[in-house]
Amino acid sequence: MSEKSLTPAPLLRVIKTAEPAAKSQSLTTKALRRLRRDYLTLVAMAVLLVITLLALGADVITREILMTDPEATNPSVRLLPPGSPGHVLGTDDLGRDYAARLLHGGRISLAIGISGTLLTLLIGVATGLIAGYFGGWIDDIINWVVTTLDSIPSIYALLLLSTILTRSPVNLVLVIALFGWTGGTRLLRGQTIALRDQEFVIAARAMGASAWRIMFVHILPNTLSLILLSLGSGIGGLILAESTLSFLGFGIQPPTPTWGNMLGNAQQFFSRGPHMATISGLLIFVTVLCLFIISDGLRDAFDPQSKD
Amino acid sequence: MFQYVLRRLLQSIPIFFGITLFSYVLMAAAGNPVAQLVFRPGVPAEERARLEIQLGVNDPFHVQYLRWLTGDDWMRRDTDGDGFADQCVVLACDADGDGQNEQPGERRGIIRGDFGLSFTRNRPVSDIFWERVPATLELGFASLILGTVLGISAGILAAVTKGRWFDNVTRVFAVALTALPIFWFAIMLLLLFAVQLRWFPIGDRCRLSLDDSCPPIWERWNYMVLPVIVLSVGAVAGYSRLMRASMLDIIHQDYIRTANAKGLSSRLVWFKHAARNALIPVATSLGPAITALLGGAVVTERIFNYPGLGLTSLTALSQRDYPVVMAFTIYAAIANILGYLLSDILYGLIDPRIRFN
Repeated sequence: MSEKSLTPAPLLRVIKTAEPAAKSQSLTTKALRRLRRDYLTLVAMAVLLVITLLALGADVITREILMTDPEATNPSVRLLPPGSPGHVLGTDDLGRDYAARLLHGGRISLAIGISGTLLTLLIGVATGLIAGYFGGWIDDIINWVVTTLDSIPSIYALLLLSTILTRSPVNLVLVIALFGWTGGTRLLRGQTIALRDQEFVIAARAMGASAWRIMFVHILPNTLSLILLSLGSGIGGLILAESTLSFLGFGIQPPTPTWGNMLGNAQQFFSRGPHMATISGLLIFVTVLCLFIISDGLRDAFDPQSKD
Repeated sequence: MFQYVLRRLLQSIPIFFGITLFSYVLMAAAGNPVAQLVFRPGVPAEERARLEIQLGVNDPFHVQYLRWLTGDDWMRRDTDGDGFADQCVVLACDADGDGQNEQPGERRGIIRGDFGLSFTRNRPVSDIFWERVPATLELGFASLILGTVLGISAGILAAVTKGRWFDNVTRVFAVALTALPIFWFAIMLLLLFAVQLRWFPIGDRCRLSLDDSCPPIWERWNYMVLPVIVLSVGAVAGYSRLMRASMLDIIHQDYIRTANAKGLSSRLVWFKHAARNALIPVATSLGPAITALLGGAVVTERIFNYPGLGLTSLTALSQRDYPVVMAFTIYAAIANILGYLLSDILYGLIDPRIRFN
């Protein structure tokens, strides 16, 4: 019986290798080819790259090209419109160079988005794996915490948490991560439940692998593509959350600029400085839009069911 | 059906306790605001200590939580009517040890709707809450209706015109609207329609009056236009995506092919046969929509200075008026739980194939 079921396998392999090898393409090759034809995603990637480079070079650009400091106030040049001599994008209500503040603000927004997403995923992945793999009362408890946190409107919870901790960028990341990990848990829990009874996991268990080894060496790599695909929309969502909090005055505090808190008092200067209300919000919008488009594009490209 | 609703309500009890525990831990972690209020300069040390004991600031955490949750009117009761407690559970009758029993408890606890007094306004929190509810409700309902109607029709039309320009435009808009920071969108609308064109007022719920009251809604609709547009953005984006996907799922089913084969007009097939069934999954998204509206209300009310729950809780947060913040957070969470329950029940009512057992 066992001999019979084993014999076809090598035969199949012979037949397979006999076919011309040129036709077979890996998923990645196919995905990259699809991606090369998806112009919308490519444009979004280019725009995001430019924004990231500008944000990374914020210090150098402000010092060498704009020759100013993002926090240096100057009452004599308040609310200059964009295009004024010495201030490409004008100045804000305290006479600070608007372009310099945008560059530095972008650096903080991106940094919070990226580090916040990584921390969120770290907690989410760990809890999701544990809940999905062990099940039982551990799953019940984790599920209880997840549903509880999810039923509090997130802005209330974020606002509440941010009143407790001092408002530094690091604490803001902590606040966002402490509250935002439930999405990752849901994602990983479902995947883990789907994978935990598959043959390769049973085989690993039969060979005496520990629960932790099965979770992190056998199950986790199989969910990696999903995790990576959720990065883009995760970062976008966190940039939105951070800018909303900072706009409301509960996030990063001035004088440190972020795209969100730069809009905080824009309403008071509608008539004299409308540029204060437009540019930084537009940058948030464009950045988040690019991240969402890239995320969608990658998902389509790497979807094994999509056709060429 | 009744059993199902009952079971779902029972299931939400642990979640409700989770929410109260979460909020209470946060409030406790913020430092005890009662202590800050009591510790005004000029209050003698022994007086402070006495107040502290009476207020129970130094009680163990679980006792304080229990008291906040269930009140203390059952913990210290006055049975003989002399104004002092004589039957006590959990708490001691004579907590400060001066030989005189404490006054009976008067708090009914948050599970009976008693959130205590606001620190800054010195009024019961529930009064403030019910005073602010109408403003948020009118914004929320109007936005929900606008968002559902716009989103669902856009989704149906996009599915009908799949691959053509209307579909593409709708899809691009749906992604763009999800990426749009709504506080910036609100500021842009104000800049254009209120400051430049002067079509709509720049904020508030109605024209300023002496007694703080507002005329009926049809006399101040112009105050609602911009905030309702801002608040409905999320619903439009979400519903149009959901409806499009749901329609495209349905049109490959057999009964649609049958309808087409019978020779029914494509208008009838799309808008009657397909759209009606495609609406079923959309009904379940009512829960998330309510959460999103409550969250969006905070930002919208702040920008348009609309005196609802969101604006009040922001003010309370910056003043560290925790009883108000707690009450609003917990009420928002309850609305959210009920929203999810409602959408599940709707799901079953609309689709008779779904059984509740």
